[in-house]
Amino acid sequence: MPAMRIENVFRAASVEEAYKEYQRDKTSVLFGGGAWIKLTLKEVANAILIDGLGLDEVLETPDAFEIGPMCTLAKIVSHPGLGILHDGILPQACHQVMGIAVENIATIGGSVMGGFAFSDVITPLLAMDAKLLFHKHEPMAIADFLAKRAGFRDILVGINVPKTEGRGYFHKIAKTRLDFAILNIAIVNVNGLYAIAVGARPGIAKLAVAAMDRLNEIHPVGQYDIENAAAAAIEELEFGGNNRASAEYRRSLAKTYILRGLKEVTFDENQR
Amino acid sequence: MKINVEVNGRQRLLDVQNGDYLLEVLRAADCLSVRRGCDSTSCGVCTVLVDGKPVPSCSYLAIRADGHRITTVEGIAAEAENLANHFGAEGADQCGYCNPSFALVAYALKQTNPDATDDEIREWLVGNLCRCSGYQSQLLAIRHYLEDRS
Repeated sequence: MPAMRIENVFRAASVEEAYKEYQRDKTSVLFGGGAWIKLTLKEVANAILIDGLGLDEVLETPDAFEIGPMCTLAKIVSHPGLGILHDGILPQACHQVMGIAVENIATIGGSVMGGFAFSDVITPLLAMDAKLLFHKHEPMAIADFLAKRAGFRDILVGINVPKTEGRGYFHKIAKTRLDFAILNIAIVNVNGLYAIAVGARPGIAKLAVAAMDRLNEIHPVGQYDIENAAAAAIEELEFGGNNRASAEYRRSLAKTYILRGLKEVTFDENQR
Repeated sequence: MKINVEVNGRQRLLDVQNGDYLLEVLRAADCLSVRRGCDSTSCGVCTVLVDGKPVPSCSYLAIRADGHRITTVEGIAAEAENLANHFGAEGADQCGYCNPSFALVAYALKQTNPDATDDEIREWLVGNLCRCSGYQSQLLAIRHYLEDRS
């Protein structure tokens, strides 16, 4: 594979400096990750590096975890607090992205800002109600960002994941451990408020909003309700085919795994 | 441009182009144990250690290595020989092309978690493909290597 051609490298000394350069040169590319850049870009006129700006830590406040965009997936996998939150679905998802070596170079910010349809990281973040913190823009729900990310030029400075108590479920379906997902599903239940996210459909991850709304009106939720919700979710989400799986296969998988996930986050083990 | 890196314990000032990956730069710096495989982060053959952590050198921009510590098999010769003996004893060595990457991952695992279980060893080997073996022999060899505290 030929090397990437980079005309100029701009090493930012601060986020503000990186932001100014990013605005000044509209052709510039922010290098916030590492794993997939090579596969997506061949020629870059101006690469802005934000390494070494202290954006690679997980901070904890009383209400949330704030994950720096340059935090590697490996750091998230080994973070004790994130390992507990919603049954650890974020570290679980990060740990299923290729192997240890890729975990050490892939960043959560790169995963989010890249907006990759195959992303295993965006799906749990959607279900966990994560907010994106930008240098200039107001905090933004990740679903809102994904809807308007084309042409968006701000610098992600953090990902806020609320420390709500609840159950979580994540499942990735792939042909091999090293392959991209055929489908991935994340479900969170916080005190009877459900979030269902489905990614790699093969489009970018989305929340099944109608199914969630229907489920969130019911207390307590029973077997019949989650079956209805799973059916509603696959009705409202679009599924497509590619060389990994057909739309029909994805839809069928989604129904099965949404149902399993809803059972897991709703019932005790002996009730499932 | 030049990057200042520690390669196998020796401080080096290396000439790199902006778009060079660590793989090419290290091979040009005579670290020929670093091998090209899939060139797309999938096979693990190009693995080196940056600050003690395995990374795929085919996808790690050399300019990002500035100021960091890089280890290749040339830098862990005694450990690699020890591991090679275990590989030999378990019949884990066939064409040998992937051996340097397995050696570095096993070495990093020993530094991080010397009491790793078989499942943890398997987790660490997920990104390292071997097209000769069935992985069981490598698993046994690495387990013996971890147990070997000599």
